[in-house]
Amino acid sequence: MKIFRWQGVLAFAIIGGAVALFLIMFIDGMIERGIEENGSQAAKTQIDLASLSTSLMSQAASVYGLEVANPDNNMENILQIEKLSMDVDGPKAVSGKIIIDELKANGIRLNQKRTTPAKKISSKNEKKSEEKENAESGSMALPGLGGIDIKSPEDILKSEKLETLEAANKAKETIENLKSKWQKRFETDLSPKSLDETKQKLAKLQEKVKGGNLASIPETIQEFKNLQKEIQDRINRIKSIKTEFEKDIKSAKMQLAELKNLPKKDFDRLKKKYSFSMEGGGNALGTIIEGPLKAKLDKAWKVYKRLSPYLNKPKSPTKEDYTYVRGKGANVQFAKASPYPDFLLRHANLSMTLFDTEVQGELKNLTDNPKLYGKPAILNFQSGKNEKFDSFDLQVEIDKTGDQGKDSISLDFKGLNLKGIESEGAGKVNGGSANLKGQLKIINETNLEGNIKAELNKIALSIAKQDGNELANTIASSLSSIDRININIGIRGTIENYQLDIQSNLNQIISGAVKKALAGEMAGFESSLMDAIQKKAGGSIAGANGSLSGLLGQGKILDQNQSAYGGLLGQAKGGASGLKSSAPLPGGLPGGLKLPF
Amino acid sequence: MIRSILKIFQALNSDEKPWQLSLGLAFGGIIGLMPLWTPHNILLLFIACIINLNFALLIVGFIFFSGIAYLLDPVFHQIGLAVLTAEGMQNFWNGFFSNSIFLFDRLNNTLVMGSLLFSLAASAPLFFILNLLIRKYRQHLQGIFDKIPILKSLKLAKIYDTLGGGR
Repeated sequence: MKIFRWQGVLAFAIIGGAVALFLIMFIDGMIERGIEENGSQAAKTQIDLASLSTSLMSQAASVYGLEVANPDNNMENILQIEKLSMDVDGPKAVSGKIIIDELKANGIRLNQKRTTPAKKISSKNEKKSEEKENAESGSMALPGLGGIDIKSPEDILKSEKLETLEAANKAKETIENLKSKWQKRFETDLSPKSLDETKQKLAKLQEKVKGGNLASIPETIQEFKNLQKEIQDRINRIKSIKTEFEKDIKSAKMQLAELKNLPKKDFDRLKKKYSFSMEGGGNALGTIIEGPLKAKLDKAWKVYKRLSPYLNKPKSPTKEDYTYVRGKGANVQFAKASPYPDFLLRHANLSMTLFDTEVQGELKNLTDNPKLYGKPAILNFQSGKNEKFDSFDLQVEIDKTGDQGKDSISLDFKGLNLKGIESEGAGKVNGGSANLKGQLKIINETNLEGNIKAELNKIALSIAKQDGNELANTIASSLSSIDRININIGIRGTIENYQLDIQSNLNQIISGAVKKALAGEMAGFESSLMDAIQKKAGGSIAGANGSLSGLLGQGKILDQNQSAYGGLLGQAKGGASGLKSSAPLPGGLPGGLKLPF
Repeated sequence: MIRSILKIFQALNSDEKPWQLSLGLAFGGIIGLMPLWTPHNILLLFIACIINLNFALLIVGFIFFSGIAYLLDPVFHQIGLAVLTAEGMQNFWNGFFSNSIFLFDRLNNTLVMGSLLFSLAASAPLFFILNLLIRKYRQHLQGIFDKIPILKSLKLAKIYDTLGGGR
């Protein structure tokens, strides 16, 4: 029995040859399908290639007609490249590293319309959230030109809280509490029973005096004195209660006095919010600039966050960094053995079509492991004067070489001719130019800081007339010719939660137009708003006033008691002084002798 | 399935040496346990072509152990990860992988390394155990099995299969 069968070599060679022939013939198609399928899955959007050709001998590849669909709009390509040719480092490719020494990309176009709708490549949950986002993001449009809606005062008051109403109810409640507090106090401290008792005591003493028992005069005088003291204490107590009561009355009156100014305050606040004014124009900035800008920035962050993991692999991954994927495992990195990232694009010459003009640029050091490669990725596009603009300069730096990522983008766009630019809702620009300058820094892939300045000069805007919407037409007419628009936008915060600080004269322009169009209507609105506020809060204010009257009425009992005790005190004093004058001499006459006079 | 069983019995009852059968199964096991498209699998296939082993059993072994490989996939990853990230072996691996042929062979992949180590470690005992079992079978069971009715039906199935043009 032979151990070897040498004819097996021939069989292997035939099979191997057939496989090699198959690969040579179909490798381009296989790579093309691989890029389309795997790329689409990774990017979560459809990626199409018109064709692809590779050359093993020259270690080069060319891609034609690359189209990346916009995941948020299936009738748009977010990126299109006519031709992409690259030289690949063959020996490194053997080690599983994709090192592209030189790449040329011609005919780069952004946001182009598709001829056929792109397939949605995302999970159900993602679809739902994307649909929601799409619904939220609007195009740049003038506010309310589809019909400015002025809410009726009644509708406004249904949704708005009135400070007047709240304060009136609070004042009424406070006064009612005071009323019940004083009612209890009067019942205990100013009981009619104690007044009656005092009256009875006085009457008894007076009876005693009438009895004419001279022997008991000193004792009676003492009793009168005691009663006087008792009454005086009562009067003092009443005075002290009165002071306290008057203090409460003063505080209640002050609360009611404050109510007088509140309807005006409510009116001013609601007028500012719902009526069109110079300040109200600020809302227009929010609608025209902030909303659409935020929608676009949010989309940009989404792309940035999706790309970031592919551009920021750890230099020396730990055991925990290798995640298990069934059927694929994980590739362990050995930086010393192979000090190259898995992907590196050393240099690329780019040619992008911007406003129908070719703009040249270059991309350097794009890698999936910048910490290992040690150089930041740099992208720049520059162009001089042409028919469409005076100059264009875009610089992007993705620096993830350190522990903290420092990514930045700066743009300087001068003299952009706006003629012919059309925006759904905002109309068509018939003339004017724009200068745009901005920069944005993203630290640690999270913290944002940046600003954008835009200067728009001699803008001629044409907005389609809307039948039956005089207001919209008046505003559109006011915006047909604008000498200058300045917009300064500050961006600060984190990618998840950032603030836009927008300063612009656009608010004055729009407010002016709106004011002009709505002057008459606004006057009527303001008057009925004030009436509605007074009507709504009037009942509560009257209630609070009524409660105060009740409280003041309670105070009468204090006066009555004071005067009653005052009368008793007078009588007690009178009684005592009468007795003093008829009192015996000190020591008295001997044997109880009575004087004849 | 029936054809695979028949192939096994056909091989067991053939004149081939036990080592040819067990080596075919062992090779099928190694190739089946590892990810298919790796250069060393192609090398193994080449060796299998020139060694006079039973190719039918190699295919049966490949199919059977591919199923086992699916179940053991997480174990292979753990073995590969433990070996490739072992502190004491980093110098060795850095030297080893400085030769790009090993990176080309994807030996730095946890699944490839784990399954390779597992299959190599398992193949030698598998070879000797199978060898022993085949000898025992031929010695004690070959005659008895011929008398079992189910095997007769298998033989009928083979005839049917042959008449059906091997569909």
